[in-house]
Amino acid sequence: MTFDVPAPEIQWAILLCLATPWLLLLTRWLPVGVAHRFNITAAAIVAVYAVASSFAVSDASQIKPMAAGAALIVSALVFVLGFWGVLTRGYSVALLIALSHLGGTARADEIENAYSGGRGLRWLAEKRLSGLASARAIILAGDHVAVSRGTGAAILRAYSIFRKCFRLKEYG
Amino acid sequence: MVELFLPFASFAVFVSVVIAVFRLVEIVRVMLALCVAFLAVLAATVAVATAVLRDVDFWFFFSVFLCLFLIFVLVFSLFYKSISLRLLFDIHERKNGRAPLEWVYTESILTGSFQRRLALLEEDRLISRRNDTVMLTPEGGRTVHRLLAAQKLLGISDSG
Repeated sequence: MTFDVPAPEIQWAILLCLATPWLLLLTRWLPVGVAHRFNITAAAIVAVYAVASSFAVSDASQIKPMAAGAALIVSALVFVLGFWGVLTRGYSVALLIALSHLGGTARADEIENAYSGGRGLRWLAEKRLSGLASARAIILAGDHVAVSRGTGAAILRAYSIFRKCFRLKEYG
Repeated sequence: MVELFLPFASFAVFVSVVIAVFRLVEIVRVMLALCVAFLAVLAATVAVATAVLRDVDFWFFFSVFLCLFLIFVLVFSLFYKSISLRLLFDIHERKNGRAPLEWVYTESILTGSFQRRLALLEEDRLISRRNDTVMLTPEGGRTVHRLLAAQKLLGISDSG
């Protein structure tokens, strides 16, 4: 294995990886919702990398460092997405914050109602069901809900394989 | 050819190691275990490749292996803690794979996910419970303080 100085494409990618959280920070002043801010950041980072690396690629031998740089960019975006997801959609995070807003001590039903700035756990259930319905994993019919045979069944197969493979005690 | 193959082979070894460890031992710090397994496989591959494979570029190997690892962690987290997936599973487990909406809220969310998550937070010593009362521990208070500071910095007004 060789440990040479990384190619310019990889150097560009490392710089952009380091810039990703700062760019996400800058998007707080954009007039868009939280859900779109990560997408805008990701699009900007990918666009800058595409332009920067296209200047560097001169022959076929440069494809490899370009691919390595692209892998680094994807890594940075996935890493930041993980933290972004926890801060914006995290269940444990929202429960802890709800408990904190209640003064640090509360009954379970008080947390249930104070969840996510007072929207409550019923709102969470509706939001998640709506997301599953949009993904066509479930079918909403009146006051009942059913798992869809296509997407829903496929997701459940993957979920079952995961649970069997890793034998995790707690989930969801 | 070997250079292209190496990160994928290392990733396959990493996944095998993780599956073996998770099946043999009950892991409490799941993310820490994944990171340790990643670093162990990375170090082992670099050591072997340095001795045996002369033409493999470290940066290409590291970038692709890191990317595969982080995508794996993202998918793993999704399956491990996702409320939506658990909800789907609970509905599927009901008779005929159908459930009343009220049952979804009371059984899957309130009795299920909510209580399980409180138990996990208690296991992590972020909260303590006495009868029906939940209390933030000093560590939990510090964690909330850090989370709120991060949310404020990033301009996130609420979560959940």
